[in-house]
Amino acid sequence: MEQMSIRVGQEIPAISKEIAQEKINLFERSGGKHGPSFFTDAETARKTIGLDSPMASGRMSVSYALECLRRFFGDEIFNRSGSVDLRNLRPVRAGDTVTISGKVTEIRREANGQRVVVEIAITNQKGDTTSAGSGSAIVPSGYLPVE
Amino acid sequence: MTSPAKVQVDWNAVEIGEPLPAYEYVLTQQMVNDYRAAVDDPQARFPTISVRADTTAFYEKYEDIGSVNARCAFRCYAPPVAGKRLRVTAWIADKYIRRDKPYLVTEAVSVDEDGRLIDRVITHELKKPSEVGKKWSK
Repeated sequence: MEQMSIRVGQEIPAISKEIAQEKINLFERSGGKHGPSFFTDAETARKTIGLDSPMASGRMSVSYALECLRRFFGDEIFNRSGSVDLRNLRPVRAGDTVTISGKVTEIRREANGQRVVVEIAITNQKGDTTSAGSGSAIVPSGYLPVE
Repeated sequence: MTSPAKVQVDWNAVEIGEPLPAYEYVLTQQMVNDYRAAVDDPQARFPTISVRADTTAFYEKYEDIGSVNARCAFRCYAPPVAGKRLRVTAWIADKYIRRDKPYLVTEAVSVDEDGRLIDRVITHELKKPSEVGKKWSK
């Protein structure tokens, strides 16, 4: 078992994503949503949300945060104990580039290990925060050095 | 999914704890592939998030003009396997008014045909989608 080195205040490696309408459309199709929606259709976006173009689902941002944390914690840990909780603050639209970053804010003991909490921010190419929140995973006993 | 006639959502009448229609679907390899391509993550293991398990169940029962995802939490328990049937159980987790805007919180868990708990999703939906344009159309 390889020990991990995690400390409060540590920044986790950021990732960036370019948003294209084709990706937004594919995200919708992958979940079985085939009809026009404010994610995929400009006219529907105008009528329902009052924007002149579609926006990406907030669940795409959650997906990006899941990837960012999974890369940090590793597949085995994150895919079995990981979580993300994001507030969506601004629309993300085709043409945007978003960067997902995070910082460890807490490490606390739990029954099967230590829960590592990460503050997450997603910002666009203008530096505006589009989503913010937190995520966590339980790092099993033995992966982190004994305090 | 087959469902009875849908009813127009009345925020005041929706009850916290109210169950939403359970449903099943098969997670296909195509869904997995499309999801991974959509989010540019070939290692992504939870394509179930794009299924919108909780709000899909909501819209099996209710109709409205749409809503906007204001907050979303997703918890991973075990990666789903393509080809397996998943059963979704969903309910109304909460409702609240914030800054004069109505929100509904839906929650769902997905369990596969072998009884493995896959994930949990909790979504806070703003039930006044035109608010997005009011704030961000410029």
